[in-house]
Amino acid sequence: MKGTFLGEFEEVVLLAVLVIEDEEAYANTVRREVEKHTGRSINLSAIHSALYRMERKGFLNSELAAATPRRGGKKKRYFKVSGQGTNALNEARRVRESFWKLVPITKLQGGVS
Amino acid sequence: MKPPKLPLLLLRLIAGRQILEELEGDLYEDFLDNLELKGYRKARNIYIWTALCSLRPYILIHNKENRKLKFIDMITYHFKMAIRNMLKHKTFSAINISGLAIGIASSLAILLFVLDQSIKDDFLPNKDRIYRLESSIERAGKIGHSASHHGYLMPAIADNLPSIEAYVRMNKSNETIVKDNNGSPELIEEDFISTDPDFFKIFGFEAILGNSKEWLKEPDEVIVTESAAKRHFGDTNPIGKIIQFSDEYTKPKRITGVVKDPPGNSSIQFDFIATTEGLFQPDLSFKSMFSMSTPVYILLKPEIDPTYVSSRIAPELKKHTDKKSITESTYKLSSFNELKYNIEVSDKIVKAVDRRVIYMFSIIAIFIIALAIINYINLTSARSIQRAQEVGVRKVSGASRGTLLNQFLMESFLTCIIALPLAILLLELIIPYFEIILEQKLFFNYKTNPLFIGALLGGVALIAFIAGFYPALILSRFKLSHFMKGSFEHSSKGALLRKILVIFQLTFSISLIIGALLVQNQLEFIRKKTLSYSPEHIIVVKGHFGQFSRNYKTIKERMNQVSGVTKVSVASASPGDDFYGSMRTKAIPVSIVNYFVDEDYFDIFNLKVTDGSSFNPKADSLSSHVMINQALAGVLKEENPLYSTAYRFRGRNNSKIIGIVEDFHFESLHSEIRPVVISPASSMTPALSQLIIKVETESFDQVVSDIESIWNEFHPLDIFNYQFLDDKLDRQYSAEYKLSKIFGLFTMLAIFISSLGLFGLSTHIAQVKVKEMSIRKVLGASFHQIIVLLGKQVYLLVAISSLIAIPIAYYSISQWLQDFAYSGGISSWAFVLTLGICIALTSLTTGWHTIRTARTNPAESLRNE
Repeated sequence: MKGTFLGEFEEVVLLAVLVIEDEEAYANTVRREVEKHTGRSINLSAIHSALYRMERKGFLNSELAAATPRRGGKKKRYFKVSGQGTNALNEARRVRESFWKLVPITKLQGGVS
Repeated sequence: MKPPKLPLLLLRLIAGRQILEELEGDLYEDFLDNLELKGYRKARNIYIWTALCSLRPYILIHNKENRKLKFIDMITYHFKMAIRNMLKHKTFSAINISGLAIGIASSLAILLFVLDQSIKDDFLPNKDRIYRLESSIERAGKIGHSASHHGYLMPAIADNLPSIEAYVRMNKSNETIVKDNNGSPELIEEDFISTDPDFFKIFGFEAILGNSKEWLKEPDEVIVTESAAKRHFGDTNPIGKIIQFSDEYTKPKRITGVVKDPPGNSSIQFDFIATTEGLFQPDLSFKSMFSMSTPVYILLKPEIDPTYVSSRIAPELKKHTDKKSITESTYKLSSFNELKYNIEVSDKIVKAVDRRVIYMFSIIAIFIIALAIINYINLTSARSIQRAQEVGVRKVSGASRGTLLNQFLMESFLTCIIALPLAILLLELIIPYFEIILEQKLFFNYKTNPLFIGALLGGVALIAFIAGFYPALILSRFKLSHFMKGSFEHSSKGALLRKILVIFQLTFSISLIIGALLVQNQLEFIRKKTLSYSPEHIIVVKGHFGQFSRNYKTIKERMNQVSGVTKVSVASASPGDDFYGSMRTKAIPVSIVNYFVDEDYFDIFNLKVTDGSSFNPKADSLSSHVMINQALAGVLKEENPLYSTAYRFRGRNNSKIIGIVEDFHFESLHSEIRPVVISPASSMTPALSQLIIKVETESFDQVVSDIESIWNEFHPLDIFNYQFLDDKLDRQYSAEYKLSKIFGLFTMLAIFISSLGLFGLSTHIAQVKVKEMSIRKVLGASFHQIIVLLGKQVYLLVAISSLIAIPIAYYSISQWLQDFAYSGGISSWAFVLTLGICIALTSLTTGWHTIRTARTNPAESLRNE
């Protein structure tokens, strides 16, 4: 199903939003979370792009929050994972696990060098 | 610590307001975080980089609050308004567009020509190290320059001047080759450069067949270009083939190599490269009788100062000779890059274009564009009054001044964008004509050069901006309150500027008209005034050196029998030739030109013998008899040199001066009349290379074909090479004719653009003043009074412009005329005629509207009030 497909990066970003949802997920916090878990350094603009794209796809809802002085008086946008977003995450997980079940354990051994 | 502002500007331009706020906030927060952790420099760099990375398409689309962007919206809106406005005022739009199109097209044509000059020879790898040797010497108080040097000059000194890497002696000539088409010979004329082996070392023309280092070592070798090889030998391998020449003095030559054709932007053009036989003599020296002079081109080693080398030449020469003409000359190395502009010293190899002509063309190009821009500015700002309403309403609805500025600039951009393709189309139409005038193909291909196209678009945008800015400023300045009060109607501020601009336009056009007329006048003067004969009735048949040495009497007799031919003369030269060769003798301080002619020459050219007698037609004149012209008589020391035998003009013995001839113009009027010695034909028969035939007939074609058949009887292996003398004379002034034609062309264009402007302006005046005139009419003004009222302004402008233009034109033309030793002067009729043309054109362009306005029925124009 095109449009509901979740890219790898999108999946990670979506998961990050899910994890920090309660303590207000916006671009900067999402990035920190993603960097923490993947160990990669990510440009803020990539996070922006993913967030706004997924919002358009309907995986995320958002609302504006008040401005703070630390932001130079600019408002920020908080993101929340929507029902559709949760479904997409579940679907992605299901696909992966159905694969994982099929992979023989022996084939995974010795893969790391 | 604050982040830089610049990166955000782009973001602000394209992002919607809401998303922009969020992005900016996030970026700022990120910047502060990084500032604490990594310091200012790093934080700033990350900030800039992130801002640039944020320029992604989604920020255009993602705009919840206002899905369509304001920026794009306004552009489409302005675009729509501009198109509507242009369609509404079709006349003005047409004037603006066509003016700009013509302006751009003609400037582009000139630009292409100028560009061609600047990219001449840019393919030559060594061109910055190539020089031409030039010498100058003072003779009779005048400094004479020369690019030709004694054949032994370079061999004598080259060994002692190690800075010289290589040198060549070069000559260019036109040879007739006999191509053998299976028994039926065909004659083909080809350009030959005869030179030394190092030619290919200096000018890196690419070899196709053969090794260029081995070429031209033997005297009979010749190298051929790719296309000439194809012409003569088709697709067969030309190496080793022999080419035959039509004249018996040139030995057959053997092809040993093939080079690529010289590119179109090469100064050096040729079909064949051959050795210079005369220069191959092993015993060549300054003493040898044979002294062929040729241009010399030198390749210096890298980073050698040419002035140092040239200063060493004269001292080196003193070791070899004491000939004053050689040792007392001043030598100079002229950079190859400069030769294309050097008209003072020239050779047959590199064609030079006067740098002043290039400057003049560039100025004309800029001015023509300026004319078109002025049209736009004048018409648009003049109409601002009519558009005040529109501006007022827009302002009330909330348009800011910036928005209005954008809108009007958009209109000028649109005008230019429509004009551009028209201009390109026009350019393609004028290029063939332009190439005919220039007598050269334009080399630069602008269509495939992205840099040129980029610059063109940039230039057009600049034109649009210049043209649109002032009207936009004026238009956006209107205030609704002024409009309501009615105080905008007769603002005189803009009117003054418009008048100045019109005066500028008219001044330029009037100067051009006067200039074109005076150039024409000088050319007429050259053609008609100075000649004592009518050149259109004289045919010159040219042969090579020695062509008629054996049969000149019989061939003359046969030609005389052709019906329509009234007189025939055999001679060494005819008017319009480069002089046949000058000489110097010890007793006479100036160099003298030698002509060999028979007795009929004087009749054909109407030369008056002022003293003594002409050559005796009955008996063969004694070969020791000569005639001289008055210029020479003035130089000789005797009061009356007639019958003097004190001078040796030729050969071993002194000659007797039997007659003095009135001065006559044989060379172009650029130079003064030289001292001339005229010797009888029989005294040096190989020099007789021309038949001069006077024709009195209605059917020239018949005479020419009769002459040709006689020619073929005598010289079947030579090309019948004939010319009417008037054509030949015109060729002397080909640079001037080119100039006058181009002048004429651009004058027409300038006049056309200016007339468009006047027409537009008069249309506007008529529209604005129609009510005023109607009221005047109602109050009793007559038709004539109204015509005068409407017209006087325009004619006043014409008068002021003429006053400015006349001195400008007078000055420039008198400068140009200084190039001629003899000029027809500046006649006042050109100024009168120009004034007449101007008044006629003004009346033509403005008359229609003036009369229509004056005749308008007041009831019609006033009924709306």
